[in-house]
Amino acid sequence: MSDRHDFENPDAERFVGDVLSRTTGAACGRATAQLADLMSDRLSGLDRQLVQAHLEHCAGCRNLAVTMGWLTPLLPQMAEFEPGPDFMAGVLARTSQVGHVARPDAPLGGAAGLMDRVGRWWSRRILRPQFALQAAYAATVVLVLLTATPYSPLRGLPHRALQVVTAGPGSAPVVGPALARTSGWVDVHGAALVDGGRTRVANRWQHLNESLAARVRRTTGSRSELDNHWHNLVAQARARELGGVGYELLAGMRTVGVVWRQWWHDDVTENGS
Amino acid sequence: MQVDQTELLERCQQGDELAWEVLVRQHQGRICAIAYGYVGQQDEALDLAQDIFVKVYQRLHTCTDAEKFLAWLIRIARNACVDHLRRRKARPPRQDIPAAEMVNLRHGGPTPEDNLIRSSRQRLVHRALQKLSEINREIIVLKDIQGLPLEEISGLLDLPLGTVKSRSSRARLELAKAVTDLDGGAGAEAVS
Repeated sequence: MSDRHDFENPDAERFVGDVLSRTTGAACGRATAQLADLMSDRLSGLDRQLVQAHLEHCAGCRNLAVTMGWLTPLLPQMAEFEPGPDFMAGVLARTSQVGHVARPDAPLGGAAGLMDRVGRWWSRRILRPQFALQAAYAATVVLVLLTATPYSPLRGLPHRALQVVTAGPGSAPVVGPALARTSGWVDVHGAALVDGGRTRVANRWQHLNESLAARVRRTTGSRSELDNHWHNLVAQARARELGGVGYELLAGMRTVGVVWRQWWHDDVTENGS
Repeated sequence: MQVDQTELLERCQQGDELAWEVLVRQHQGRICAIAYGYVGQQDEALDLAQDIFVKVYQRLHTCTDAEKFLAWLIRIARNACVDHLRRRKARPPRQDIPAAEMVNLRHGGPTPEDNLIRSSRQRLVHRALQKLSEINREIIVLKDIQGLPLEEISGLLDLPLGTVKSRSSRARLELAKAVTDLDGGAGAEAVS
């Protein structure tokens, strides 16, 4: 290694700098790349000596090394931050307003269990910030592949659907003839069936009606929120705020999850818990 | 006071307010620090930390393993922070808010001078964190500040383990550069 006094001379420093600029370029990049290893004692032998020699003469890298030296013990000390006494009161006040649903002791069975599992799966997925955008993107790609390319298996579907809507359900392929047959059978046997089962059908219809009304009632708030998200999304799209569109899409999908769970369960709160 | 975590979590899931208070006290420091690391503004971080605890409360029933509670909690906190930053980017504040003073340090030093230096450096680090790329900031917050293992960070960020490892050194170097830039170079030595 060269004599230290030579390098303390500004001319000698400039000379080394000039030589490096005409040959390899400054060695700062290589030195900084090894700083982390040097600070954590993972650098040994000649590599260690070379980096240390560079630091001795390069003020910029030396400052960086000094900063890394105090950063290493400081960062773990920032793992906790005392928020003050008001914080706890704020959290407790807010969580006391939120309805609490205890974990069910046993998993639900049947359709309710399936709906519950679907709802929980949805809640977990929706926690991922990227999920809404990924889901929307995937759904668009699938729709385009299914209906909009020359080789799509369902490429005529939108056109056929339009025809069915225009001409009535009897013209629908596959289902249409079946509907026509069913209609004829009902014409012949309907009177007898209606006489015999009128009461049962009426009871069943009333039950369904009440159940539907209850579901509509308990999802009113969430559906209104969903409506708001939709309007906000349109506004953000018009303003070309992509970030805002993403956020509203995410919030809207989260609300869809809440509506879904409220529709199938009568003990779900406004927050979906 | 040492409380059995499994029992504590079960009591919280049953709606026991006292258990919930203890749970919040146990983790408030960490959650506030994570939020502060991500958003860089103290008031904003405290509001965000409250939101995180409300989310945690609503989803308590989905945490079935007390041993994994901390990882579950940090995952919710991290996702909430990322979500918050995304919303902030979509609707930026009308004017820049000056960096908040961080005074309530949990780890006090032996002398007031030490505390002052530490406090000043921590402010500097929080400002520097806002200069980093998102991924590097996350790695610093989760690995260097919160001390999470690389495997866990890899799962949280949905990145290969090798990428997280290689990013780790680079992130700290980028942070040191940002700190040095903010501090004007010579300041780093002056305070050391």
